Amino acid sequence: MISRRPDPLALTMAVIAAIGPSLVQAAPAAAATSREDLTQMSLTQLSNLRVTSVAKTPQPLGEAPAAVYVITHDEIARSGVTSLPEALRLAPNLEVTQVSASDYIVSARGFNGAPAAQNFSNKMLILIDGRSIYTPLYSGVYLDAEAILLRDVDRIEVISGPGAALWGANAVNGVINIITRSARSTEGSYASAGAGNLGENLEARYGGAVGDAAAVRVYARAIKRDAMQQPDGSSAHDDWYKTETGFRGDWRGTADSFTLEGDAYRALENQSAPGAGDLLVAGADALARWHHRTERSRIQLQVYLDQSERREPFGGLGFVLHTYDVSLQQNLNLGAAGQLVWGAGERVNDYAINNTVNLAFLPSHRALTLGNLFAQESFSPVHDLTLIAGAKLEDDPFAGWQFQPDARLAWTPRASEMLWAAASRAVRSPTPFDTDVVERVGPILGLIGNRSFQPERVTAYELGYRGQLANTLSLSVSGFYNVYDDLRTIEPSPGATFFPLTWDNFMRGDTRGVEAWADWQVTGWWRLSPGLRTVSEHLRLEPGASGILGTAQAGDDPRAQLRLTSSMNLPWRLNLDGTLRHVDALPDPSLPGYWELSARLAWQFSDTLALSLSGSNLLHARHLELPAPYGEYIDRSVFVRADWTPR
Amino acid sequence: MGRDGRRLRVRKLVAAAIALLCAGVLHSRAGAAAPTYTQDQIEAAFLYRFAGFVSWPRGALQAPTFTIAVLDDDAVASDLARMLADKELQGRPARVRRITRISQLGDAQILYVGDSDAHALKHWLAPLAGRPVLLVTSQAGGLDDGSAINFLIVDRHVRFDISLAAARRSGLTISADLLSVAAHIEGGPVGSQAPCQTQPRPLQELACAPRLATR
Repeated sequence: MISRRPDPLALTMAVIAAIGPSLVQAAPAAAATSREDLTQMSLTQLSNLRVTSVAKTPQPLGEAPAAVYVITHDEIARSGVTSLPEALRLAPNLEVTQVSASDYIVSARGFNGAPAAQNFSNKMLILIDGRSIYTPLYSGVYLDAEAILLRDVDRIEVISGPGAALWGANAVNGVINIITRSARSTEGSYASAGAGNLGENLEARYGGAVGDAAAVRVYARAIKRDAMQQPDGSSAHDDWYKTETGFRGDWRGTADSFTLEGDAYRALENQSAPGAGDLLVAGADALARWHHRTERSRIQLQVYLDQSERREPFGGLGFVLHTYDVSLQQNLNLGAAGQLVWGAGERVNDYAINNTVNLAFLPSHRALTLGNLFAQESFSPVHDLTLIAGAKLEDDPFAGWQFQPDARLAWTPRASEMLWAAASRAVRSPTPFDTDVVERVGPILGLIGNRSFQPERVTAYELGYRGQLANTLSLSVSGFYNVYDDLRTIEPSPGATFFPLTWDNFMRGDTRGVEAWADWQVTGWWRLSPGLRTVSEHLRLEPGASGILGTAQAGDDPRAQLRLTSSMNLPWRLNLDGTLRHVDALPDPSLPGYWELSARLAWQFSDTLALSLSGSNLLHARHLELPAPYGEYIDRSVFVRADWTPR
Repeated sequence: MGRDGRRLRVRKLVAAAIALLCAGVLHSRAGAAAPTYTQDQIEAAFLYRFAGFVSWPRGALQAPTFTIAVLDDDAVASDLARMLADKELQGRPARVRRITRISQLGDAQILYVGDSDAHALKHWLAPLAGRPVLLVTSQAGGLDDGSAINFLIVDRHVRFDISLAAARRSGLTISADLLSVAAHIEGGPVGSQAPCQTQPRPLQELACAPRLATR
């Protein structure tokens, strides 16, 4: 492993050293030309000037040459969803599987994991306002943790495909960026109460200005979710409840702005068996971000602390994780030489695990440090073409320096159309679950971690089109061909005939598929949004692999997924929204495909009061999204809700 | 063997990236002779020109200077300050005032709000209702939030939309010459029924229908 640390660092440093000065030299030369003439130009002449750089804001991700779907605030509101994973279902390029009342699996482009192989969806990176919420223990995300008021979410940017060059390791198959509104945009009170056959919600927020340049908001939320009823009438014992609270403050001056935000949550989750006691899920976080803008650059410095904790009852398995993260980023406008973004960051993950006889991590306590350095340059060598090239170097605590490059080309023949192509690499880094785990099955040592486990790797090739076909119709289509290597397999440990098992990197292969969605404004009051996602996985075991659990241990993914969302603005301040979705059959273990429908009717009763009735999974009394025994039956649900926003 | 092969591929990739980047830099330096402008510079120039195509009510022009206030946008303010040095607007010396809050607006005739929190805009602009100030913004949905002129980027050109209704509310008259250059006009005698559909928009703004509905 030591011998594999090496030259990519030297090479990239050389790249930056080589191009950095020339870029900086190019900038003033370009900027110096004929600024004074502008005031002499007519309106028409000004209108015909070509802008070298759009520097107002960093490019909104929705316009990036990548497979990006942006879930808007209104989309969330109109869908009537009450939880983050349900909101993620609005993105046609994500695969969201509900496992139980509290548990969801989120993945993109396949690899949703295999519970039988203890392989969990671990190739997605999720961030809330720039704070990563993946757990370094197994690189997955606990979606039942975290505190978030969907009402204050501005948008959720969902990128399918690698995003490692900017966001770092584990952004193998996608990145989800959850962005909340500035406190300056959420002044005023808001309260909401809702109840249905599967639970209740209560939430409130108060926001207010502090002088003219700053604002603060605080929120609190409590949810209760009832247990799913199974076909034989029994309970799945997966009921849970959770309380959340948080704040955000934003101050803005002429060139500087400052954000401070924090949250805390605590949940108790029933443990799927009578008398098993409750799992405690708790945590808190605080983030500070300073932003400085000058004529040609934006600098951002961000610091956050995050504590998360999970404890099984009666002294069972549990962990406490503290994350400390600091990062610096600068966007430089180099005039004709394009735009450069570079940054560096350092993170410490300090955890302590409460081991049990059956499942232990050795050592049970570690402080893992993760450093990174990245740069990305985007420029237009020719009219209508934009080239973006970048890379991230990450010093992984287990695998050493990882080089994750990314190159993208966008062709914009018209303002309303873009064709793009991309090639990128990303890794899923080793975790304590890969290297340190010790599992016992009765007297047998069942599984031990592999200290020389390697990162799982992907090289992704993508091609996409995004365009406005007519005033009322837009379309995004992209295809991918992802080549994976060193995927995790389960093998007998060296020298053993079977037990103890261990992890290794003996799977490789490729996946290909299509992600497409459209928006059709049929009439002024009616919009249709179809979406499609396909993935076919061609995985194989390398020579020397034992073949235990086969290639199915990588994931049990539907080959296709369809959705059709309809949004109607009706008279009398009524909105009617619905989404029909289809998920194809799961191959191994098998599960038939299914259709499901969710719908919501909302009535803006007055300027301050809105009432809504919504239903989820309306087509079946109950259905499975993950085969038994891993998934519970998910019941049909209806929910009524009142939202109050006093003036 | 496989690892060495992979390392070789990484090298090739990096080498290709260097070549591409260098080529791009050389190209852009060669092309630097053509005048280039940033969005900020072009918007600043427009702000300067707008003053000549708008009529303010008599009472609004009593100050000895003509002032363009710039809220929260140093880049545009700097460009504008350079352009306005020794210039006159509406027969008065032109000035730029950098402000961080609406209350500092004073007797300014034009207010430019740059890169701001889109959702805060409406709230901020409320106190200006009915005052003879030309509101100019540069963000998606600016007209909806009450501004009279909103910049947008269309195919890498700075264009602007005009809301006649907003101008009227401020007691301003916009000349036909300015209207003829606008990408899109709202609140006029025609086309005001469905502003979302009359003009191709960046893709993100297709969220138009729900936005109308939630109001």
